[in-house]
Amino acid sequence: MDADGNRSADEQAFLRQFMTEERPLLRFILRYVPSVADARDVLQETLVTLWEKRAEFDATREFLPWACGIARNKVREFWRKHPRWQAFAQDDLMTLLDARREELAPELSLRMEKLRDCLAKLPPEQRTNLDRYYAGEEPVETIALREGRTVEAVYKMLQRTRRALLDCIERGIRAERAPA
Amino acid sequence: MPTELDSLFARACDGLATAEELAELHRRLRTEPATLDAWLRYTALHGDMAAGTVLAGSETAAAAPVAKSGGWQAWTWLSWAPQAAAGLVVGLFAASMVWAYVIPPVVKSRLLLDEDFENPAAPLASRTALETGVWRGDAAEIVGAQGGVKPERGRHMMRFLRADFDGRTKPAGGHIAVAYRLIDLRPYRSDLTDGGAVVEVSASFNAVAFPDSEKYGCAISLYALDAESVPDRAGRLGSTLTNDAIAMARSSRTRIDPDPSTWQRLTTELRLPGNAEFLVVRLHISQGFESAPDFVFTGSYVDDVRISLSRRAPLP
Repeated sequence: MDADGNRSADEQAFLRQFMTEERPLLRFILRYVPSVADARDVLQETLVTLWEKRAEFDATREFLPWACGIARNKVREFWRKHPRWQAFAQDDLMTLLDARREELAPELSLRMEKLRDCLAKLPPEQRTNLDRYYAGEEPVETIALREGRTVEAVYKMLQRTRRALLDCIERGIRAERAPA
Repeated sequence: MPTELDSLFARACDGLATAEELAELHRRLRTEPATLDAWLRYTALHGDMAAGTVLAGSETAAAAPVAKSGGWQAWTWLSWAPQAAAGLVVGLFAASMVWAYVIPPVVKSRLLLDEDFENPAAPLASRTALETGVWRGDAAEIVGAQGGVKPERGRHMMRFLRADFDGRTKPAGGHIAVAYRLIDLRPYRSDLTDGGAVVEVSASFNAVAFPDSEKYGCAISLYALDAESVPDRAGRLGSTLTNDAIAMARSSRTRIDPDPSTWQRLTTELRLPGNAEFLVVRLHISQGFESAPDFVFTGSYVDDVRISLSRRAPLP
């Protein structure tokens, strides 16, 4: 294979990694920038930089940790650039979040398993709206119109649903830990 | 968790929190270990759902269909392309056949509106001030199948009733019935600034069977406006929109065929200027024949209106 062919094959492999890891990267960014619209902006910036630096990527290493390192810098940039978020850029909050998240990692993993069970238990209407908001990324305004509710009511509904899921997860964990 | 903390977390995750609220959140995360733990649990739940870790493709997903309106459909791939170096764009789209295979299935647009008129409460027939989220315009109603016309999608469609509106009792030449939709583009501002965004609107039109002596036409017009130019009354929209729009486009007028079993699908698009803040979509049906009754439309319909925003390279 000639040099161009090798380059093309490398870039194809890189692109596959790129596309495979887009969702985990978004999840990573949401840890620090929880608004989905803002997180997607950070993701875009991250993807551009990843592509620009693709020649630096060592294919023998894992892609996601390398990408998360770049995403972390983009999050810091986002905090600095956006006046609303500037409080987060004042000190090393990211280190504090990371350290505690690592300590809680086993619990967070268990909670994700419980979340699947709890989602299945949601009343259909709540589940549908949750799907529309998160999986469909349907604007709250659209959900409100469809449901004949106000925008504020839909936000409240989402808040209540998340609260119900957290409570359900807590109950599931308590039940698992309770002596038989 | 205290209610006020639950509310603060929710506002941060939904993008509603103010700078003051985020500063308060930051302070509490640094000083209250219990709040830090609660935040990590809350954002883990939110992130798992938002990133599709648990919702997308879940076997337990609700049976009801999930509309994709508003969501980025792999938008990231296209939206960053204009920012990238020219070599990147060329590399992505032309360097290899494999890439050409990989990229095309990725949908390149965001659906801003997917209207099938399934909500019978949709407010119509009013030319009071335009507002987002509702249809305004001439007298109309949401109906099911009738007169041999079946909805293009779903079980309902919008029927134009008259070429008039609240407060206008005897206008001249009422042979055009219109419906307006106002779309707020400001949430997508960052994607508009370089002039690389294009909005596309498509809609289906139909009419009950009519004799050869009658003619019906339909068209779609689009007007990009800044916030100051959004009309405060729809009753004088025609000249206002034309005069104040910072960009506009209109489809050619298309004849509606006399067969009620077929819909005429129209599509038009507009490249949005970087300073566009609102979009007004105007759908209209006209009746152009001598015996046409003033104002009254006997059976003219629109259905399946879709408005999408996509990225294309800015013009040189």
